[in-house]
Amino acid sequence: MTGGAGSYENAFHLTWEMMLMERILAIWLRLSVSEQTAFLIKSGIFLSVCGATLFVALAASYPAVHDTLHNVRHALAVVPCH
Amino acid sequence: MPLISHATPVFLILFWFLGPPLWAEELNIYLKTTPRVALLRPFADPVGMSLLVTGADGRPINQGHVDIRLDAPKPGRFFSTDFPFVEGTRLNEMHLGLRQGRANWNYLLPIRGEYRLAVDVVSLDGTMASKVFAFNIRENERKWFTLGGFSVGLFLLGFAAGRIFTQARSAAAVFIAVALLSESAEVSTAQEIIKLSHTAVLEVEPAKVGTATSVQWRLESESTHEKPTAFLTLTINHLEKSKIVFGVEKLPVAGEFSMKFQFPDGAEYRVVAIANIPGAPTIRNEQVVPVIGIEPPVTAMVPALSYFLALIVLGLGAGRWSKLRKSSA
Repeated sequence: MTGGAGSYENAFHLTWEMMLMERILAIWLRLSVSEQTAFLIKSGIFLSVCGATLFVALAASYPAVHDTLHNVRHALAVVPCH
Repeated sequence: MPLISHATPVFLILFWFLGPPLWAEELNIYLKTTPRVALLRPFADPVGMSLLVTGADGRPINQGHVDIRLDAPKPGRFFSTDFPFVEGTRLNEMHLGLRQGRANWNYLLPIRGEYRLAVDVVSLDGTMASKVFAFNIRENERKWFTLGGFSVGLFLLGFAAGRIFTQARSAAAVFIAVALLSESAEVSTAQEIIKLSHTAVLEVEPAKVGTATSVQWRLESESTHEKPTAFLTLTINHLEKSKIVFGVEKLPVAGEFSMKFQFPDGAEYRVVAIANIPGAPTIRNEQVVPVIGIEPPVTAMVPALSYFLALIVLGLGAGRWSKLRKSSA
């Protein structure tokens, strides 16, 4: 047993200080962005991943994917299939 | 000289030139589908199509033949159907003999939209008539329901992401995901003629989605002078779906039957021809036709993918708005 009576509080302070240091470092290195920019970056990455997934699932003619999702494509009425 | 005396020969001349077409209109052409058009859905079950040709007295004409051309619906404004290569193309073209004024066949309508069936009738005495039937096939409701559910799912996905991404934090971690997919799916087939009988030949051209293929059945008789009338039953089955996509039953043919038929789906089909000749054994020909599928054009894919991504974008916006509204309250 290594934890003493105040070990939990110490761990909390340590974590908080590390987060603080990360933020200071990010600002110092000019890596910090505004919340709106962060949202746009995250959304852009998310949309790219979604777009790639949708393309592979619904439009790619790679045989393994096509054969597995053939019925799904036809079931969606607006997705072209060969 | 009174004006009416000049008008009489003019009317006579007009009647002389316009007379034959007016007589041609005396033939009436009726189209009946079983089940009725309102109940038809694309790629569900084959529809029984029946043409009835009657004279001016309402009685079916005894003999004659019809030329039939069936055209697929034209492409939609934004969304494509699930068979984009079929849109706006000729699906079927054939020449059928009339029996008691009727011509019957079965056909599986592949996509939603307005079909156009052009019919040219020639009776035994040479009287001609033409008519174009246009009928609209509605999409299967289950497909619209599935599409609606999928759309709601994408919106909710965007909504959840929008709420998660809206936080007063900085320094987003950047993940780069690159997915490269390649494809190679080519099926090539060669023309094949199966000759199961010594008395008949079934020939089907190499088939490809988007173009009509020639399907020909020919009776080969030892007598070169005259070929007997055969009652031909021709069916085309979609093997994967186990559906009949085309069929005629006991069609009287004088030694030969040919038509242009478009196979709507890139899959294997079985063409079976059974000919009954009075006083002769039944002749059966069968051929499995692999149909080459074509990858849909990018222009057909873009609208659907854009629509799905737009739903996610809407969800993202709604999720962010929801989170900001809650935190400001």
